[in-house]
Amino acid sequence: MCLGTWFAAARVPVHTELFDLLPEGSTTTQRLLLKQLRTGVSGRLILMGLEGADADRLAENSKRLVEWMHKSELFHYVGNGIETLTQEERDHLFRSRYLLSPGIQKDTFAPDHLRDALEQRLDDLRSPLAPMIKEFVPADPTTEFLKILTTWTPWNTPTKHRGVWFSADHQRALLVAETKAAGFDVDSQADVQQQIREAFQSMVGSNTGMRLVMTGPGVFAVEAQQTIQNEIWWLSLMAVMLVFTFLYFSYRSVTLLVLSLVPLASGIVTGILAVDFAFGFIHGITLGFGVTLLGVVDDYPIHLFSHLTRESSAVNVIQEIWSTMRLGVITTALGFSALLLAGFPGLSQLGLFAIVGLLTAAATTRWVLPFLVPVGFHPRRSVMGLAGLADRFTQARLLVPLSVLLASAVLIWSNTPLWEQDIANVSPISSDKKILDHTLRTELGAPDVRDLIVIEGATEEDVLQRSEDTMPALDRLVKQEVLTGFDIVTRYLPSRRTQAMRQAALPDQQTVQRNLRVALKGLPFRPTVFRPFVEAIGEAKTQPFLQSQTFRATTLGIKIDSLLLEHSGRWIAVVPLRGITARERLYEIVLSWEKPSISYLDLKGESNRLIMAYRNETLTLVGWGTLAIGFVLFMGLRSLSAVLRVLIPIGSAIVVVGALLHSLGERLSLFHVASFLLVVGLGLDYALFFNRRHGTESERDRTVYGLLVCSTTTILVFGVLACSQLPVLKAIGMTAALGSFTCLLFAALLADQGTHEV
Amino acid sequence: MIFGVNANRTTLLLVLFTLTRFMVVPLPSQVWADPTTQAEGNSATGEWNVDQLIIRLAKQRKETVSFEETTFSAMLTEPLKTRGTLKFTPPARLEKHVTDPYDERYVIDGDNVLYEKNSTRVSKNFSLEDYPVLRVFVEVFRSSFAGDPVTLKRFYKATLEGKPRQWSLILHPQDVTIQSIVQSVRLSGEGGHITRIETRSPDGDRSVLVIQAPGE
Repeated sequence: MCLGTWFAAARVPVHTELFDLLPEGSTTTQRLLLKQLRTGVSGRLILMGLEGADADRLAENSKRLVEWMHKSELFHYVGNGIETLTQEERDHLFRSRYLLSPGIQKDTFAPDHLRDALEQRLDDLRSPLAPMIKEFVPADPTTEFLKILTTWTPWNTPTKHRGVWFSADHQRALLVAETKAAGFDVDSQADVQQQIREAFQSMVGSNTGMRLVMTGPGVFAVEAQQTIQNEIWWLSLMAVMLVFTFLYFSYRSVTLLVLSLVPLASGIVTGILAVDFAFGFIHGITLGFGVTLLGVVDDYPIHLFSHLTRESSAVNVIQEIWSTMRLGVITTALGFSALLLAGFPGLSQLGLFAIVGLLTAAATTRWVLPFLVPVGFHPRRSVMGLAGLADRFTQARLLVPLSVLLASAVLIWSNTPLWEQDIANVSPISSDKKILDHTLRTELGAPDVRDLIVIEGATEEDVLQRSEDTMPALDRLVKQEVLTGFDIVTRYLPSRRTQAMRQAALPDQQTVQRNLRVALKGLPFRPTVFRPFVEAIGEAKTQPFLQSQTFRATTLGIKIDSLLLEHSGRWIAVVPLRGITARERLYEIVLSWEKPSISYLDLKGESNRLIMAYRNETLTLVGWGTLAIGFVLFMGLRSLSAVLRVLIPIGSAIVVVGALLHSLGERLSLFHVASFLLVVGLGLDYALFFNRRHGTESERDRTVYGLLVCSTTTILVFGVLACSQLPVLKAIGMTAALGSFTCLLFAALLADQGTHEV
Repeated sequence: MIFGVNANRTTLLLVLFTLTRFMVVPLPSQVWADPTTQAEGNSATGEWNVDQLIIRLAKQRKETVSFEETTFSAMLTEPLKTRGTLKFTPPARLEKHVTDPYDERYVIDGDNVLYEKNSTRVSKNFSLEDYPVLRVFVEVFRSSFAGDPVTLKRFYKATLEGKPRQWSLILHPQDVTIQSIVQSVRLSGEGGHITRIETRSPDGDRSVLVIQAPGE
């Protein structure tokens, strides 16, 4: 077994990217966008803040950190306010100014317009900035280059101090970086973030109050993973210790403790191998949750041991209880199959893991474990009278319908929503971190991308033209205060159509010469000063058009790549929107444009919708699973009343647990639904064994004792999980612990009082 | 969007320099923060020197002075003029207010520059560090008006000519990148007053700022 475990651990790739577990989207566009968001620029951003010193020292360290980051070659882009356009890029842009500038119109170079521009240049020359501006005057008197840069100015750049971005109160120097590693490549992200921290530490030394704070998708992914791993580790430790202590005191045997691990361990190993075979990898989270789900198989050896007596051999005992156990195994496996069939990748892995593990553990208990139990071995305990005690419970059976009624009332007449609508609330990220993220994003003017306009087209040119045609409408929306701003690829890369239009609008050299002469009349400029301007116009007339390839591997190229996507021959322009208040209204406005190639996408709403769709799908599967379970039970028990006796306590328990969770302030999510499956599995076991009326009174005592031990271990394990800070673990823990207790109670209350056999 | 495409020219200037920043000035920030690093000078000898002049300038400084600035450029056939007032508030606030031929205001406080133009209602803050040219101008004023010869000498090679009654202080930037836009700054004065500041570019262009104290 150890060897097998090692084999599985060493050979099976355990993935840790959350990416693998997230839904893929239902349309091609959605899939492309979700992929882009996860692996693209926005997923790779790290936002940073330096705090805890005076502004001058923060600025200095911001510069030193950026210098290190540039050298480290871990980043595509690093920004702290000091501009990153290289001399080469600037020259290139300057040469292309007459194709890129939105200022180029038919009359831009007409005498009166030129005259206005020249008068303004005179003012420039006597401003305090003259020594810096004057180099541009001779070649660009209408300041087209500046107009280009103006349209590129981000919506609101942060305040600057010493040339470096700062928060408005000058308490925090701001930086932003785009890692080369993908945002969901957690291991690389953790490595990059660690290197940044170390570089920062060695920069500022240890005894300063200066701090580095980081946020962004990659930082979140690392934190989520670490939190999950830490929590799983100590929660598992706690649970294992509690269960072992409890089992030891229940049976007072170390041998038994060790033996009870055999089915569980074999289940885990085969589960891993099966998932690896089907998916090619197993996710760390699947493993963590899967082991938790498989905790249910610990009940099988417990049943076996509970029925052992001085007289009976393990092989005989297992034959006696096998028919009941088999029914429990099959029905629980059916319950887990709902997970397997759900489209959610993470849940399918979990389902497969649980089913294979469950069947293996049951088989081990049936065919391997009995031969491992020493002959004559039996747990020392006195369990006399337990069955009688349990039977007395049945006198209070009215409690069940009453509590179901009450629970239904709670569920029906509650004001708070039953289902979790916002997937963000299920995220393992602490709210402090979320607030920090929001603050840094606001200060940097780099808000989380939630709202997008998506423009599709067959070719690059097609998409660029459509984007340009959409710009006036978007500008109108800004004016109407439907949104406060947007970013669009055609600001950086105009379509060929527009470039051709601008080129055509440029006058020939003779005309420029003539207009310039008229415009200069009476102004104190030397006439020869503007020769470079006249030449530049001449060159621009025949300049080749700019394409997205022109800017490859530059700062501008990165910008264009994040706004213009190409995927198997389809082109998409992504237009991030800012400051949207009424999403419904925007949706209707975009719809009213009646252009099928343009759509509005609320990414957060979209992923919530996706998650809810998965939840509903899972619920449906749970429904079918329940029917299948009922059918199998009928085949096994061959009596409708017996089937009902098994199913009614479980159904009632689920309603009551749902109401309990709801009144505790939990909103039900996909993870609760998944945990209900576990509850069904547990409940089936309890109900089947409670209604098993084989043999003597002492045999019954042993059954009841076994059930008590089973449910207590379950409640212990999941009770520990319920203490977790992680919403997902908490959801699973609370549901399963409450469910286990309620199922046992209801099974006892509704147990058949007769003595006929099941 | 703060700027439309037809933004006024000075706004465009600001944008340009925020974005392009073709002069990266490595600036040891402790110098800015702490001007008491070293007190050099030979004031003990009683000789007329830069330190004495700077201390005297600070003592007799007027809060507000008016100026007339004339720009000479190879691009121009005749010089351009502006008029306005300069106002220094210790320790680090300097205001240059142009009143003629247009109305425009630069308020420099620490590293922050506030730019305002009344006719277009433009008002914007930016970082002094992004505008090396403005910084030269500001530092000369600040350090001479604040009586801080140490900072001044840190950034400029200072030569003093003339007599205490009528003197010229010639400053050459130490920083190579600044040298490419400002060759020298020549302050001339009488007693404890600066009367003229002449800034020369390496290309031969220059501006002459003549200062008049109010009432003179």
